[in-house]
Amino acid sequence: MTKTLNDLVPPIVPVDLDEVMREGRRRRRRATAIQGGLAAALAVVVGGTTGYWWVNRPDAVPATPATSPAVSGTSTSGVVCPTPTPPPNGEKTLASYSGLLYWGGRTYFWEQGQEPPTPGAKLGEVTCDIVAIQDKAFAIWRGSWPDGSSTVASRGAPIHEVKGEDPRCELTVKRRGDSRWVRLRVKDC
Amino acid sequence: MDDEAFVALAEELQPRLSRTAWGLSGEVELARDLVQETLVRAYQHRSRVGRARSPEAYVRTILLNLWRSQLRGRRELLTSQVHDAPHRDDLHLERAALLEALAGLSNQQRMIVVLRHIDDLPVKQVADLVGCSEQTVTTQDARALARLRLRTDLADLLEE
Repeated sequence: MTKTLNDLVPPIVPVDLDEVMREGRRRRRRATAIQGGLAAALAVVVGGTTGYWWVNRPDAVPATPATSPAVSGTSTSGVVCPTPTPPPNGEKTLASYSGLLYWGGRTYFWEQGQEPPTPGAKLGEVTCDIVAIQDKAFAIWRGSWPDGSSTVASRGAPIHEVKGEDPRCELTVKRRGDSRWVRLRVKDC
Repeated sequence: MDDEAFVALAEELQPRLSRTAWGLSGEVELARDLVQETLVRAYQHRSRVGRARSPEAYVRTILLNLWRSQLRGRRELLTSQVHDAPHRDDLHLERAALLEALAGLSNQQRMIVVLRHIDDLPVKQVADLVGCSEQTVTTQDARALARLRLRTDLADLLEE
């Protein structure tokens, strides 16, 4: 039966194998070019996203508040800042941060989108730059931070009252990077 | 696989691929297009073809997959073109009858009949290509042939 059915197949002109190979090579080149383009586009997107995240990374609370009772007063220079160490398994960690300042036993949170504050009397200086310390160590400090520690400002940045506001509720510091004054407020104060 | 080896393989396979393609597509030009596209894709992936346990089976699988993927848009093609451009010789009536009958089968049955009886492949190889058991090939083949034999114009051709 196979022989009979085979006989029914009409003559079919063979395809040109040179043309087949030319087309195959052309498609391979095109596929390679498309893959290269996609890889480049992906690299741009990933690079851009990572760069944007790094510059604008969010802030979060990294540690428990300080316990110093002072509200007004003295400079806190000379304070020894903690040095976090990575866990025993060596896993490196980058924390995310919210803008805050530990001062006088209170936690002041950065209020974004507010009118720029007018600084009043100077109360002290930032003692520990939490972001710089933790990011350098690739680890999170689980203990408490000394009074004057902040995620917003660099070590040594001035801490001032806000004119017309109770310093137990609001303070201002010069932000890291552009040195603008930012308003920090105790929640529910 | 270098170009020389590919050409040798393609030259050896082409007549058989053409038969299969004709049985599946039902038209000479469509069959030629199908074979050409199959060989282009095989050339694109010639290193994989060369590494395959059976290069012939690999290339045949490309052809069957292409046919399946093209089939959806050409559902009516086989039946509608059977009488449009037959190859005119003393077998053209039988040829047209066979293609019309094949068009009435399910895709799987058509593949099995074409591979088994037009291309003369053993049951095991057909089962591997179609992706089913040898038992299924045997059963489906018997059912398909029984259906084809219902046509009086094919009864002589399909006698055992």
